[in-house]
This record gives sequence, structure tokens and C-alpha cells, in this order.
Amino acid sequence: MNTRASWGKRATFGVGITLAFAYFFPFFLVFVNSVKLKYDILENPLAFPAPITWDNFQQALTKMEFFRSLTNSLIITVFSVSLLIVFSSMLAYYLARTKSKSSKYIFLGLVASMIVPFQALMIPFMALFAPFVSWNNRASLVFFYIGFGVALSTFLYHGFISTIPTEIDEAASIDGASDMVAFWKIIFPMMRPITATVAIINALWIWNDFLLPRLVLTRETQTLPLSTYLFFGQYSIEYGQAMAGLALAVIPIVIFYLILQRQFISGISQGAVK
Amino acid sequence: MKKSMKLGAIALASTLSLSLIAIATPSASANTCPRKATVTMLGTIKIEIQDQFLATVAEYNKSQNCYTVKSIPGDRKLTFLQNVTPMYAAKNAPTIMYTLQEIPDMADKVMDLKTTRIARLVSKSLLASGNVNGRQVGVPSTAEAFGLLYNKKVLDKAGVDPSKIATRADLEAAFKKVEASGKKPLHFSAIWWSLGAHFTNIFHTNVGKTKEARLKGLDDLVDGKANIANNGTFKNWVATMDLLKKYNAGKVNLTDTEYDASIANLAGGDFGFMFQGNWTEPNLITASKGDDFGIMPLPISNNAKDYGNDSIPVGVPGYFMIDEQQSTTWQRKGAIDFLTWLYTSPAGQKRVAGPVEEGGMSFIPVYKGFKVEPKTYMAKEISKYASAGKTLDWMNSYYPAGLQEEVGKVSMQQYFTDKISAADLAKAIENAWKGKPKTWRGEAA
Amino acid sequence: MTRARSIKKFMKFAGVPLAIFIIVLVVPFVNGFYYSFTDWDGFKATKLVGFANYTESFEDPRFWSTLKFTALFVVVSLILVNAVAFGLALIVTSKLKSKNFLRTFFFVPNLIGGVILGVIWQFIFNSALVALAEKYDWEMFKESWLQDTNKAFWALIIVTIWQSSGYMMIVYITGLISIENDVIEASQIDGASPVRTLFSIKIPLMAQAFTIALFLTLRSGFMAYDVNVALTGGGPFRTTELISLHIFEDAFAEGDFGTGQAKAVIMFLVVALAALVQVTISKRYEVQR
Repeated sequence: MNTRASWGKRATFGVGITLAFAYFFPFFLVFVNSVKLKYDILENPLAFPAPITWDNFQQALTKMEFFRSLTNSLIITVFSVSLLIVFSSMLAYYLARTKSKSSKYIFLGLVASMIVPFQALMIPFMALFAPFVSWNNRASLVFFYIGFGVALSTFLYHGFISTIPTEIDEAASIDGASDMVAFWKIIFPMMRPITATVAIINALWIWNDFLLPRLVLTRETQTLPLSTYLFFGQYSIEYGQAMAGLALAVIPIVIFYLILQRQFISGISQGAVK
Repeated sequence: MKKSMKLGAIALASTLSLSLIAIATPSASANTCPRKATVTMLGTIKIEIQDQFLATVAEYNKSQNCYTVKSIPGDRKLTFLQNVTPMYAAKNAPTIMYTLQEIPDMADKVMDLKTTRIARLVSKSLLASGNVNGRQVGVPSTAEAFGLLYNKKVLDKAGVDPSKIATRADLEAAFKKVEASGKKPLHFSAIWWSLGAHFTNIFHTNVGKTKEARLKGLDDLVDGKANIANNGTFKNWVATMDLLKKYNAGKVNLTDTEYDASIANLAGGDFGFMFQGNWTEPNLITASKGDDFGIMPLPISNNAKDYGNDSIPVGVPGYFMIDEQQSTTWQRKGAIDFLTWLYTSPAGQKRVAGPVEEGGMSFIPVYKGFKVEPKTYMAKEISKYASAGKTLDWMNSYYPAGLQEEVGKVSMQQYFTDKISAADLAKAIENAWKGKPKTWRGEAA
Repeated sequence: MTRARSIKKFMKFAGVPLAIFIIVLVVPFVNGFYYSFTDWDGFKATKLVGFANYTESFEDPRFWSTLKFTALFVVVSLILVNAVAFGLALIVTSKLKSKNFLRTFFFVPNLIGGVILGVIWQFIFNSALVALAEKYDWEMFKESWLQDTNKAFWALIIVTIWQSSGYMMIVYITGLISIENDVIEASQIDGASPVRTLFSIKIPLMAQAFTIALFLTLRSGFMAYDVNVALTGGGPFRTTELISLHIFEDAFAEGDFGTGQAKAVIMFLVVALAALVQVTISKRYEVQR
């Protein structure tokens, strides 16, 4: 019994470590090749770099305007996610607590919208919002993210609010607090776990989104995935630089994840339970 | 280069001689202006000289203080229209656009440049593809040629004289010689734009000796009257493709990255030939250890006297257009000023035609009054062909938008990888053309 | 609550988000629906054309093959992503000391957008694996997988598994740890083998996690675009175009936006139907337990 269990454990470990290696291998390739000389990469992409050159990184940093793109990504993600949290928690609270036909239909409408493919909207969308975009493209991108993200976020909040007893609202309103005050002071703090979920799911989506920023942003306001992809496309002759660019695009979000790992995992778990 | 190559009529010879008549003209840039305008341009003409072009733009921006030119990166995986349509929808159109086959699609949105100074510095034949129903909607960038490129050192070692290759059989003999010398004969790239635009052009341009006969060939395809499987030129063309496939020693790869691999191969001195154009020369030179690279015709029949066997296709790969719908007068002025500076000022000309090592783009000039000319081995060879009148039309200038993608990404790559027969290929090409607008007859895109 | 008060409350809590939702999503959707009945070329629409765009879509053989290819992709990726994700979840909920470390590795690909992932894997399939195959004489990788329709399909599947199994893994971990320990212990005391415990106790008790994971993979399967465009670009021979890419390519390359929009509407209907069927079936299992 005992040996069987430990054999099972060893097998699990073996499979696990092999898979972990497989999951990491592509990143290994990117990093190894990012410090190689141009044509060494095509000759043997697997060989360890000799000599190591940091020139690729230097070139990629400047050409993809790394720090500017990083700042843009941060600004856009932080604003979009914060506003999504504010708006969708309020909307979900309203819909969950108002037991009327119309609120039920609104909720169904929101849920249904989650399967609308972006391709179905893209061109009419651009035609409609052109003036808005040319006024301030980062602000309009944030606005669009609220529009596209509000359905899923509201859905997640809605599920969670249903588990908060209505007695709490009633107690607050007896104490004379207004709706808004009651919501922000009492209900919203109770929703911390689901807020983390909403934040993480939306942050991952917005940080990595490609097609929408591609349509809306200009060179000055490009986000990181966008500048990486465009940089890669234009410099694919320079493999080393392209690999360095990819490495640069991957590093910030991985660091972010390693710091906030616990929140990420529990956040997604919360989302899954709802 | 790549996706959007096209080109109209040729007359490179006349241009080259025209460029000898130097016309000294002062730069149009004024030093005072009410306010600074930003002029956007989609892309960087082509990617091979992207760094050089961006440096050129920076130099222009420094040279005056009325306009700032900014290059907006395009997505290389998308066609010109795929890039530009959303920008128009977003009222965010670039002021300067650069393309070839989509000129008819854009004609109603861009300026007539007929009265500009630079348009008057180009010969009529080189302006032709940028002229839509009498409006000069585009001005050319340069002239380019494609054909068989070779590494001179490799051929010299193998004892092959490219100037003696006049037939398909000669070509096969040359491949064998290169092989015997221990090198690989050829990298025949399966990349879609090379097959879809350039390799197909070898067929469409060899189809007739006169321009009218060649255009008639396209007419018949559009009208569904062509039966190209029985056409002698088609058969020869397919036989040539089979020969190139047979001796191809490059690793077949249907994605864009094969382009880079093919350049590395020829530059590295392991390969004798590749089917490409002179736009690869800057990259070849940078990647090689001082080898020279030449260009020669791709003979498609076994009779040295047949039309086209001794000539290389030369044409304008793209035209600059200036948006008229969403730009301001100042932006349009800036766009014209930039192009004028680029092609008429000494600094601009040095950038356009100077060597890549010195930050130039090594373009063959098509504007009168050029004092700088590329002096590379390949550029000299091209001008030899041009002055001898041994040039072929770029019929690919007339391909309707989306056609070279359809033919290149599907049927040509299928034939390349032995998925379909020559008869299937003929059918596929006929189907791709059927019912398309005859823009060469003035029909709207 | 009075009517005036309830309207006021609605405006306070729901007004802004709903207004943005309608402006950003509903209006363009309706607009696009309208465009699918016009001769729109991306720049202007001059007339109504009835159902011509829909007829044209259905007469387009490539549209049909794209639909088939997409359906196959959705089914295969749905099954494999969930199978792998569930396997990973079992590994990282076992008693291994290294489980947190492993979980980190499995999740990382999920942090990175599909476009970047696609580009990385294109390099792997086209260059890295080919170079390795030459060196060690591996027949199956000597030719890039991306130039054969079937192999390119599997390349898409592999990258999709690699990208999204980490996320689904967490959904399953949540399901697995929500099962009360005493239920499992009871089954072990009864002498049930681990496999038996898995199929008879664990899986039925976490049916909800399956509903969610299946819905999410179904949805992302139908909407896959980034990986498709960056990995295969629809090649070889435009045979690996998933529906999103097909619409994008067709509408833009030839300026035929009316038809593109009609195809988008058809796509929406297909996704809606598939999602409805999947959720209905899954929910039935949840109720049964």
C-alpha cells in the first residue's frame, strides 16, 4: 500500500515536471535566441548563445518604444479595470436586488451579449465612433472596454451578490443610509473576493487585447502587445531583435503574476464558482 | 518589394537618361509657417530599408520647421486595404499612402498630383500606373527588377557565366554545375507574394510581345474566354516552375519567414541562385561577407530567341498617394513638401539612392535631376538591361486587389507543394480572374 | 417604492453602465445587422440588396469549409483543453511538495496574449523544430507543421491547449477542493480505488466546474482569432482559417463588407445556438447529481 502510494506520487511528479518543462520550453527558446547574433539563430535555434549579445535588447527597447508602450498599457488597463469595477458592481447590485421583469431582461441581454463576436461589430463600430476616437484615443479605448467588459463583470458580481443576504441592505436602509452610501459602505466591501476576480480577468484581457487597440490607437499611444507585434512583423529579418522584443513583452506581466500569484489563483477560482 | 509590388510601364532606360539632365532646384521648404502640421504616412515604403527610411524622415523633420512627418507602422500580415480601411472608417486616414495594386480602389479619395513639381519630373510611362482616368493619383517611388538573383562568387567558382544562360536547358546545366561544385543550386522561395505577384507575372508578361497583346491576355481571363492550360507560354512557364522546384534546395516554408531564410542562404554563399528582386540587395549585402549579387532573366523556353527569355521585368513597385478627404490643406502641403524634398534636394537624393551602409535606400532613381545613383553590382546590371531595352512589363501592376493573395496563398503554393496539377493551377488562375474589373480599360475598381 | 423613486434608483445605479453598453455594443450590432443587407464596401453603402449577401455567403464554398474547420476546431479543442486542464488540476491538487511550483508553470502561458504566443510558436514550428529534426533525424518534424493542413490544425490545437489549459486548470482546482474531504475519505474506507473515486465521486460532485469550463472553451474556440492569425495566418492554402479570420480576410481583402457582415451575423447565430445547447446539457447533469 505504502510503496504503491509512493510510486504513484513519483509518477505524478514525473508527469508534472515533464509537463512543466514543456510549458516553459517556448519561453526558453525566446530568451536563448534573444541574446544571439542574427544568423546564428536560423542556423541552430537550440544552441546556447556564444557569444552573448545584449545589443538585440537595446535595439528592441528603442525601436518598440518599450517604456512608452508599457506606460500606455498601464494607464489603459488601470483606468479601464477601475471603472469596470465601479460600474458593473453598481449595475449588478441593482439588477440582483430589483426583482422586476425589466431587470431580468436586462440581465439576460447582458449575458447574451457575451457571445457576440467582435468581428460582427468591428467596422460599424469604427464608423460610429470615429470622431470620438480622434478626440482622445486612449480615453475612448477605456470607454470601449467598459462597454465590452460590463456584461461579464456584471455577471460575475450578480452571482456573488445573490449570496449576500438582503437583510443587510434592509438593516442599512433602516439606519437611514441612502442607497449609494449603503452600497459603497456596506455591500461593496463585502464583495472583495469577487472584485479581485473581476480585476484580474479584465486586466488580463485588456493588457493582452490586440484587435481593438490596433484599430483605435496611434503610434504614440500603442500598448505593449501592439508595439511588440508590429515590431516583430517589421523586423522579422532581425530574428534576434524580434526575440528580444517578445521577451520584453512577456517579462512585465510574468513579474506581475509572480508577485500577485495568490490573488490571481483565488481570483479565477472565485470567478469559476459563480 | 513585397506585398504591394506593381508596376506599370517601364521606360526605365528613358528615365535613367533623363536623370542625367540635372535640374538644380531649391528645396520647397519654407522656413516660416503659421503652425506646425503633422503629416502621417502609413508604413515605410518597404521593410527592407525601414531603418534607413525612418532616418530619412528624421532628417527631413530636422531640415525645416513647418511639418513633422510620422510613419505609422502597418501590419505586415494585412493587405494595404486591410490596413487602411479601418483608418478611414475611424476618420484617421494617413496623409501619405504607398501602394500599387490598390491605386484604383483609392483613386476617389486621394489628390490629383498632376500639377505638382515632382510629377513633372517623371516620364509619362512611369506615371502610367498612378494615373486613373486622367487624374494623377500617385507618384512613383523607384524602379525595381526581379528575376534570378545570383551569388557571383558561387557562380564564378562553379564556372557558370550567367550572361550565357539563354534557355531553360542552359539554366538546368548551370544548376548542375553549381551542384557539382559542392554548393546548392537554388533557393526557390514558396513565399506567397513572390509566387502570387512576381512568378505569375513571368507568365502574364511573356504572353504577348506588345502591351496590347498582354492586356488582351488579361481581358480574356476576366471574360472567362481564356484557356491557359493549352497556351504555349503557360506550358513553358509551368515547365520552368517544375525545373526550379526540382533544383530547389531551400527548406520549403509557406509562411513569411522563408523570405529571411532565402536571403540568409544566398548571402551566406551556400546557394547559387534565388528567384527574387533587387529589393533584397540591401539585406544581401548586409548579411554577406562582401560578395556581389547579380540579376539575370528567367528564360522560360528552350528557344533563346523567344520573347522575354533575355529580359528582366522592371517596374515601379509602388506609388505615393496623398489623402484628400480627411487631411487638412496644411497636411497635404506638408506631404508634397516631404516628397519634393525626398526626390529633389541633395540631402533627400542622397538618402534615396545612396548606399545602405551610409543610411541610403539604394533606390534606382525615376525622377529627373538625380545626382546620386546606386553603384552596387546589381544596380549596374539592371541599368544595362534597361539601356539595352531588355525589360519586361510588370503586369502585376494590373492585378485587382486581393488577387495575388488568392493566387499566391492558395493555388501557387498548392502547386509548389505538389497538391494540385498544372491543369488545376490553370483553372484556379482562370477562376481568380473571372469577372474582375478591367481597371486597365478604365473600369472602376 | 414609488415609481419616481425607482426610476431615480435605476438612473443612479444602472444608468451609466447601461448607456455605455448600449452605445458601444448594441448600437454597432444593430447597425452591422443593417449593413448585412446593403452593398457596403467599407467606405459607403449605396443601396439595400435584400438577402443577396446571405445567399452569397452560403454559395461560397470556402465559407462552408471554414465553418466545418471551425466546428472541428471547437470540438477537438474543447475536449483536449478540458482533459488536459483536468489532468493538470489533479496533479497540482495531489500531495506533491512541488505542486505550487508546477501550478505557476502551467498558468504562465495564459498571461500572454494570443498574438505573442502565436508568433513564438510559429518560430518553434517553422525553425526550431525543423532544425532539431534535421539534427536528430526526426521524420515527423522535418517539414514545418504549418505547411500541411492537418498538421497545422494540430499545431493550432497544441497552442490552444498550451495557452488555455492553465486557466481551466484553476477552474477545476476550485471544483476539486470544493469537494468535502470526508466524502472522499468515506469512499476510500469503502475500498474504492483512486480511479473509481475520481469517476464516481469527484467528477459528479464538481459538475458545475465542468459547465463553466466547457462554456468558456466553447466560446473562446468559436471566437479564436489571435492565435490563428499569428500562428498559421490561415495557411497553408487558406485551409486553416477559423471563422473570425475568414470574415476579416474576406471583408477587407476585396472590400466586400456587406457579405463579411452577413457572415458575422451567421457566426453569431451559430455561437448562440451552440452555447445554448451546451449549457442546457451541462445544467441537466448538474441537477442530476
